[in-house]
Amino acid sequence: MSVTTKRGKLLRNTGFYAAAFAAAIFVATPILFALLGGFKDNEQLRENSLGLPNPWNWQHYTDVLVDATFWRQLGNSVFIAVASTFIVVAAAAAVAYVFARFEFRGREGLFTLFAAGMMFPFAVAVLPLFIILRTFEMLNSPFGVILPQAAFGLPLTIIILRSFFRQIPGEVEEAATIDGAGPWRFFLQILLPMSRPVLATVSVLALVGSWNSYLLPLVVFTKPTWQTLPLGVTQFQGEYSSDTAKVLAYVMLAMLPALIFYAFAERQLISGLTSGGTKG
Amino acid sequence: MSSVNSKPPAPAVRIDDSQASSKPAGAGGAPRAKRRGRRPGAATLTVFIAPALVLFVLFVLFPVLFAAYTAFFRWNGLGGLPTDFVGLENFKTLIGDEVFLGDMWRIGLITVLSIAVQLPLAFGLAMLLHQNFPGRTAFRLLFFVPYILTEAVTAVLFSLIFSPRRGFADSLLAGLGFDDRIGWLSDRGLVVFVLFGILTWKFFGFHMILYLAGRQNIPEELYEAAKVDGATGGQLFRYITVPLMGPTVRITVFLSVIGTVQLFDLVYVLTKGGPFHASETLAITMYEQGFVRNQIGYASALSIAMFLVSLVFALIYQRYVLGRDLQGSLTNGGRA
Amino acid sequence: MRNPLFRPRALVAAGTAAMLALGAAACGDSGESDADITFWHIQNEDPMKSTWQAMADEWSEESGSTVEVSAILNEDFKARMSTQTQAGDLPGLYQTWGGGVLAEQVEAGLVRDVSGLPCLDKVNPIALEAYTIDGKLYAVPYDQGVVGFWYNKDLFAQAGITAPPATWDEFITDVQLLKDAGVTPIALGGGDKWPIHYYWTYLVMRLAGLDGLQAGADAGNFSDPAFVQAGQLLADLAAMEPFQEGFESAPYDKTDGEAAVMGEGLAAMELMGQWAPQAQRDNSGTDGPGDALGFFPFPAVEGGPGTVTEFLGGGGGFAASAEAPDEVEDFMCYLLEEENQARVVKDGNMSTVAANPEAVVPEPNAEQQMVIDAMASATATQLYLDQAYPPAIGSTVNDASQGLILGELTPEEFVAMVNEAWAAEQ
Repeated sequence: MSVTTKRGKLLRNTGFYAAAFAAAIFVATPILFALLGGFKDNEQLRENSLGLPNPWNWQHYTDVLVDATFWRQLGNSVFIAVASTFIVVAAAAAVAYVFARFEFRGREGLFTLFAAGMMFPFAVAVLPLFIILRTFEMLNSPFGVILPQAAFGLPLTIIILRSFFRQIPGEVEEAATIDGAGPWRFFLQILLPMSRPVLATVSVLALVGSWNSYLLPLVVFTKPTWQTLPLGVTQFQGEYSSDTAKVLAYVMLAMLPALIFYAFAERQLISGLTSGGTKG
Repeated sequence: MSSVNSKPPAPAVRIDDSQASSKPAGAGGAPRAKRRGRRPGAATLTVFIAPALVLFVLFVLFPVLFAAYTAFFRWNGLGGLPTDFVGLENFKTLIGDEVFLGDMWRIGLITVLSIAVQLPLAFGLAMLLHQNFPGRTAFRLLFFVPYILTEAVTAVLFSLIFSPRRGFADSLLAGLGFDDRIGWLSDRGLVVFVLFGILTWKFFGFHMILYLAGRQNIPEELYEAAKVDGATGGQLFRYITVPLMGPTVRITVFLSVIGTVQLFDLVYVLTKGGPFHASETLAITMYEQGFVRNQIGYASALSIAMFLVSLVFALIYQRYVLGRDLQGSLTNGGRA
Repeated sequence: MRNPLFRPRALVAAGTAAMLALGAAACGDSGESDADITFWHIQNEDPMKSTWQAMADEWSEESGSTVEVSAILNEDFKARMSTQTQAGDLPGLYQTWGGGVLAEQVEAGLVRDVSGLPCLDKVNPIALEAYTIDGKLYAVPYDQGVVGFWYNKDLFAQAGITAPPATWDEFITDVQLLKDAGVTPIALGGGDKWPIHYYWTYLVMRLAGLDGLQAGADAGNFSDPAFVQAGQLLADLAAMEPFQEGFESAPYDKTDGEAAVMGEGLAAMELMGQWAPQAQRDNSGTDGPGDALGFFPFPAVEGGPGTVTEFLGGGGGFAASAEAPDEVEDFMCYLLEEENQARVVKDGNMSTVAANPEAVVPEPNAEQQMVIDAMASATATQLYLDQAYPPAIGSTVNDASQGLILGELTPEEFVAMVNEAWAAEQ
């Protein structure tokens, strides 16, 4: 960068930190409220909502952690999110590949159809979906949530992947063809590896979408067996409506898995972004 | 533009051709010769397309078309298929429905606020975090955190923060010396802005990550070349960063608007759209009509309206915003 | 271009794992319940949650039929029921409040006619009214009570009020006295809307009489001046600002909601049903007002035909799906055995529906006694309008009540809005 002197660098860094800290306070305050609130009792929450807990009360967190329901819901959420993501990314990558790199009749029409899917509000499809799922005996089965979620995730995933696949220079494909690679080999061994950053991005989007999903699991999972964390949160809040601190502890623990995942995936995501792309 | 035009040849070729091929079809006629599309066998095509298509038709298209069909009936959803055909009656009711008109107004308001406040905030922070300074990874992690929180969890959290008596927000203000209690969620004039604040908190990190990815995909060679030519920081930003961030910005604005139109979970758990519709969204109105009042026909009409709003926006957006974007882009500038 | 591949092994491994897991999951549970009867209730908190479960287990043991119990949060229950109903697939036995919602399900042929249950003599006939449609019974009750003012005697005394108000004028005077004494007169869960509609309904019951209300509902027309007048009185009350701070968005039963405010002794009264004392304790995490809690019926309004012995009320019951096996009737009767009714009253602090209350609740506590006395004095009851009417009308009444007390709607606009909803329903 143009700033090279020591003083300039110092000034510049101070500016960065001031802006970053302002934003960080905005973001962190509500989360700290939840984190610390979980360590308070309700008395403290009322009388001492700003300060640190005194004394620190571990009860709420341990109560949630020894609750088998919490762990089961967590496992369900993770499994459903991973399966939905795998299906949507695999299906979307395949179709985005032909949209991006092949000429064929009806291509634009088909693409428009998929893209228009982004504008379909999910809530309105719930009732007909329910009937379909019942017909296929997928109620109370993880498939009943995984497949519709993957289907509603297709439009965005396809749009993003297609535009990325298009940016990959033709020379790459020509070189591969000269090497004797067919469409399959090019797709699996060259295109997908080169698309690591964007695959990471769409995977995160799909994971988050599934992780957040509320209405669909609500109507599909009438039995507790497969119920997911978002359902658990509202149930928990209903069960402990007067115990704000306990609800905060639950809220905090319910967000923790996502945070841990992101802490790991983030490095992959960002390093992919910086090293990948057209630099191949 | 001069500094860009005189950039070294190698990256220029690369950027030029990736831009050409990434241009959406119909938006500006990419030269056919550039396309390396081949004619694949029907079998290959089928294998690649079928999984996505089957999923999509079964779980998206069919349900939505069925819902659209019911928009022309008065139907409480009970007892088989709808029979009471009412033509456009539901849509006529819609046009005079003050709640619906209020929803439209709030969509407009939140969209304007998002584009004026939330996205620039995200853009600014993305540019900031692209710089190399110690601790930036921690900030980047932190800013994305709200986005990965479940909307239901977020709503529960903020309902506690803005709670009228035990609320953290009021205590915080009191701690800063302001003793007045504020009706965060109960003041009908204020609630939509509070909601916007929460939406910003929740979603700016998402847009920021997309901007960051877009920024990191701009080859550094471009900047280095321009700097060799003596371009200032402002010029780099104006002539390289902004135009090359175009596609990313376009997609975030689009996602932001569509997201606003379909806003549901967070608002529903937080305020149920109240008080008296002051924070209601189209999806909430639709849910209330369909699942609380059992007026499935009318609810379907609302969802069609929701779709049309998104569609009209997309068309206008593509025609005007996208077009202007392309005019100022590096590619066209380079060709002219 | 043969750059290191995208960790192909990792990719393949992940995909294989996902597919295997999916296959396993698919084999594990492929959909509909295998139990003979599915049983959905909304008492998702202990002790009542366990009590229903225990009764289901006991009956199951006795009868050899299997029961699968789901305890569901009230709001979630409503969301699920709407899809189930619309798909024509109701649970074997499920929570209902009777009235217009049940009537819609009955009309669609989804509900079992249980008029022939052999155990109905164990139930107070008044408690069956809400579930009787065209002379046939479609559900059995487990809770039944009335809506009235629950008030904090200490706070009333603090404002120098010695006796609860008997007329609306006295009520308004007392509200002013409470305000003057620095006490919040009324706790209200305005965000949930339905607590507000009790006020409007009661004012209509007093001003138009139950006959007038019934006539309006039959005609689908609330244009009688009494309806406007009721709205005006409620608007006047709201103009005095008698509610707690933030009532506009306050819920009934969550943090800082109406019940919590009452439970902490921060407001002098609330207009609520028989469950109020329990909810005050549950939601405030305190013991509530305790002995200071009193009950008085909604006051009479000068010039109106309604009397204070006409109550708004209702409760909870269980309806059976038309497709449920015949054994479901046996299960319903099991729940109605006096011994089991007693458990429900005790564990859920419900208000008894027994034909012979002494047998079920030999020693009612003070709260239960207040409800029992009120019901004994009742000459007539009206089911909550948001349950009595079809959902579209009931929700409109709730919605308009909120608009009215917030000053967004005039009493005339209120009536016009409800009339429009009636017209659309025809």
